[in-house]
Amino acid sequence: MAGLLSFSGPARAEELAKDVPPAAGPSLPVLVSLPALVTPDATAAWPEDGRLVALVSVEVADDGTVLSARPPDDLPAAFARPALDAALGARFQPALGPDGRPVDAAVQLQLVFDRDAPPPLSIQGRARASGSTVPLAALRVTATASDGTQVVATTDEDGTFAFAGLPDADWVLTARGPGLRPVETALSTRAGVVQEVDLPLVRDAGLGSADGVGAEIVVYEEDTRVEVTERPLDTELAMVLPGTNGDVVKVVQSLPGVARSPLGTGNLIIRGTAPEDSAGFLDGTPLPIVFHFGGLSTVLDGHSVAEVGYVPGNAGVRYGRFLGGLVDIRTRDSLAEHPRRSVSVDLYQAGAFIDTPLGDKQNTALTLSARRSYIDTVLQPAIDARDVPVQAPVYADVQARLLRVFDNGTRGELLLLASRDTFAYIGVEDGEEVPALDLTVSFWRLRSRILQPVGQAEHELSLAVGVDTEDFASFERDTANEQVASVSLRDEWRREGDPDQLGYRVGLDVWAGREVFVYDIESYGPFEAGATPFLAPAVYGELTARFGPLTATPGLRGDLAVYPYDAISGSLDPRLQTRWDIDETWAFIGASGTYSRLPAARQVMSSADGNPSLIAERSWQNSLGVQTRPTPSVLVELTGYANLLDRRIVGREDRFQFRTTPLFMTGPIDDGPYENDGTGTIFGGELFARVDRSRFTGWLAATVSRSRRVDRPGEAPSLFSYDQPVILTALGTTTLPRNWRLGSRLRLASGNPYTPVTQRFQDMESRVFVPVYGDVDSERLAMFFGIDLRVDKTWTFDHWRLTGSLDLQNISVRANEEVPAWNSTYTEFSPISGLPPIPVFGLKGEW
Amino acid sequence: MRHPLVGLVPLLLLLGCEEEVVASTVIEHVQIVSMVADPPEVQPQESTDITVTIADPDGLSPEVAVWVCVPIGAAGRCLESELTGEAQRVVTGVRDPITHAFTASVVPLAVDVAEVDEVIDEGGRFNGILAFALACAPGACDLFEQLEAGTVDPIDLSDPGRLLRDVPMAKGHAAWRTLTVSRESERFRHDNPVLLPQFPQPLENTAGNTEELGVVADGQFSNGLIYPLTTVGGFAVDSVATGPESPYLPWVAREQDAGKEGHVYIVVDDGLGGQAVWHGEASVR
Repeated sequence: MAGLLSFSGPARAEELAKDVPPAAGPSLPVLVSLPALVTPDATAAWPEDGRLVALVSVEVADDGTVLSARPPDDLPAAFARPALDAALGARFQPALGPDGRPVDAAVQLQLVFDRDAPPPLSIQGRARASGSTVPLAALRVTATASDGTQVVATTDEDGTFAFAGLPDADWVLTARGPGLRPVETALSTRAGVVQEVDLPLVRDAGLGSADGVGAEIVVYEEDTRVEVTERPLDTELAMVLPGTNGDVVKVVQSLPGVARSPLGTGNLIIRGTAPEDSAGFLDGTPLPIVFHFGGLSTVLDGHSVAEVGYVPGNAGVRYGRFLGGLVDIRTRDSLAEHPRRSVSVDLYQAGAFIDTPLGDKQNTALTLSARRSYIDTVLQPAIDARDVPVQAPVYADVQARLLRVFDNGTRGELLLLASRDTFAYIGVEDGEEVPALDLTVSFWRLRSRILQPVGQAEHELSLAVGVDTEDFASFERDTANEQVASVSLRDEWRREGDPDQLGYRVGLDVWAGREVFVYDIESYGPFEAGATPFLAPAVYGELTARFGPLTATPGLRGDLAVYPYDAISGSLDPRLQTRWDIDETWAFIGASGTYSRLPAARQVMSSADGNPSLIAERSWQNSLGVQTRPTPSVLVELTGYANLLDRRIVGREDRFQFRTTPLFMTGPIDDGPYENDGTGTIFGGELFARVDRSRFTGWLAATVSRSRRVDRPGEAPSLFSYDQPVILTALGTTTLPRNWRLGSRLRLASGNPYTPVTQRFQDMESRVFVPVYGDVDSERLAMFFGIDLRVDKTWTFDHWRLTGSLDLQNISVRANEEVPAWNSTYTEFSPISGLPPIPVFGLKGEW
Repeated sequence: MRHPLVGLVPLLLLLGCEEEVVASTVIEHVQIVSMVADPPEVQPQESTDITVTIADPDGLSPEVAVWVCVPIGAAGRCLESELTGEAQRVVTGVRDPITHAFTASVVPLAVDVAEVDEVIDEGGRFNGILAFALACAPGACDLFEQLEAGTVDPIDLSDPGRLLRDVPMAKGHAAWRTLTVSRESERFRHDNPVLLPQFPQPLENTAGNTEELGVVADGQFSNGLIYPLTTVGGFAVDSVATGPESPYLPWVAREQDAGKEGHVYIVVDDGLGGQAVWHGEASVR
């Protein structure tokens, strides 16, 4: 039988046969499948229209196979071979004779060569990071046939790739990319069949470039600083640095300008100021505390944090109501493209985190986090064994965040953050166990925030409400309580400047609420109680102007504090930040400005024996520095600073306070009335040298400083309680093959000053010794020295990752003097040493 | 940022080691052991003898000064410093090497004070009058020279810390106690307790050994306590309560005390203003 079949490739076999009815009598062969028609390249002699039709004579056997094929004699050779290959590879449903039986038949197969027709798909796939669904873009995928033929494809932004027009053969697909372990998979291609491939590649930061040799991939943080003196920290890196148990904010303690906090606590002692003189923020919203008890952990889960902005001094007008430096924890304001989930446990705490897109539009993300410490269960047996009446601290925090990105780029957020810390010290009274000391600190914040692009500017509107509570009780008799219910509002407009136009930032920052306090502690004087509403509005504005290489940002901030029944006080703080970019590698920075902190309610309330005439404390901060990037991966900064404090509120140290400084009071106390009598001077210099390479990040931070105070006129200057003239930190972390990471930190710091006890006298009835102090802060604890070590290892499975970590602090096993102390008779100085090395093992699963 | 006081500090108690002896029972340098007022309760303008027992392990033969102070005002100044024409009633002398004591006769309330009269006229007892004692190696404390020269700053007498400020710890010690004033007749006034040792004397111990010293305290008590101290070795407890059963005081002779000689002092405080003291020689083989 003979007939004409027409085929114009690259059609699929299913399409060829779908309209063919089942044969009942004599019939021609039916084409079932046809190999890909290989189109000759454009250099072949194509007709003008790019189309050429070839009639190939084909003999089809009674089993549907092709016995012979013959292209037309006048078909150019470039087309004859592909036509012959296609015809010979064809499969037919055999022709049927009059009796319905398969018979041999001859047909003419019309093949159409189309120069512009796309070749048929042979292989399609997707490359992703193993242990997740994160696509790998710009990855090179190579298909190598058994005869050595190679075809290369590159993954697109979704990680997808495709190979089309491949001849039938056995292939090996190889995918490789920087920082990824190469993967190979074998498959076979057949005409009309598209092979689907999933290529999971394991990340291995220990690998260099794709060929493992030579070129470095330099990764350093994009300079996202908004303040000239700011040092932003990438949280992904911060979580693996040594000495901080993976806490993103504690890493700040390894930066210059931060004194070492006793006992490894997280208190931030910035440029010679007390922890309560500095401020913590969450995207510009004030936080009452940054760390849980003892500084073990930040109150916010690190996975939610995009960046930690550390400003040791000369912050811009956006920030106020503090005298020292600040830490601004900045949450991620971009949507999670892929769900992130993690569960972690270590010696101190367990936590769970999830960040997932919601809905089909991919414009909303939900973040949930919960953490709870169990150091009490870990340490309690050890405590009980030593018959020490302590209940170890317990802390917990939860977060929930809904983030939505609208079509116009506006980002809306609803955030809930809650934290609670408790601590108890058990005593015995009348034969029964009672809490000798019971301390609870808790707070919650509910915040809505909108970031709206308006042309070249951005509008930020945030509103936060919350309650902060501190409770103290001793033997269920003495009690103290402070509670602040507040509302924080920020309305800010800002635009970055450029050479052609001014940048600006203007805003309203309001903090208002009601504060209640009760102090009923016999040893601290008479009963105190008070309640007052307060209103603290602030307006601020700054301009950023560029004059060639010079950028100047003058600004002004005005604050007011209104206690309706007692006092009104205000402050005006001018500030100036400048930066001179000498060239691409050198820059000078300079800044000067005042920072004010208005009196607290208790200090001004007449009903609380306060002083209504108190005015704002003030700090005049000045910085001057030079910055250079000799190479893209090296940053060196040298900064000098001079801060003057005046109008410091001093007095009434005999009162109970929830405070930090100093950890233990030594020396005589100032029990005079509250007055703005105090002054202070702080001078120092900082060196910061940082290296960021593909497999190594490290820095050297050195600080020299002197911080002094004068509390009352006529008094001799005394050292700040945490004055540390020399602080040296060297830190480094390196990634090794097979996803190992090793890091170490070395610290050397001057001991804190203390007032020595030179004598003692005794109550002959209670037998208690009372110390007689020498010159205030005339002695100093021994120099601190410590080495910390951290090791991480990540195992990557197909759909999840497991990271194990070991964080060892003070492996030098040096008994550093942390807190001055004496025996009960004051005849022997017995400073309290830090905790011995405690290995903190941790496990984190992510998927 | 505010961060509450406490943190992990008490966890440091994990590092605390258990002491072999209690530090407050070990006398290393000149130290006032007791101030016994006889009688402990007087009427206005009546005198009392204050016997100051002083341990002197370094053999300094300390000078001793005793004075009373009726605190007035919020600043805690002494009424006596306001008196003119009279010495601040500081009685000085030297420690008797035999009795280890110095006795001074003082008048707790030499003049009428409204706040005191207010209490005692209603039948109460006023126990806010302070008695101070200062024991110094000769030449170590400026007070004695100032007394001779009449240049004592009255403020110093209201704050022993000021008197000790430049005195090395091994060269001087100060103490205070309260005195009680009432209008009670002698019959109804409180008296000092009596302390009776129940152990052989002189005391002997062996290095590395603990001797339990029994004592009997007789008198009126309200949460009374017995305090042991020594210049050789130490005691395993800083105090024991008085009670119907005779308490025992564990005297510990450490290895480093071998061959030493010194004294043991036992003070009983009845919790009502009355005190008694015993001292005796002690040695460790």
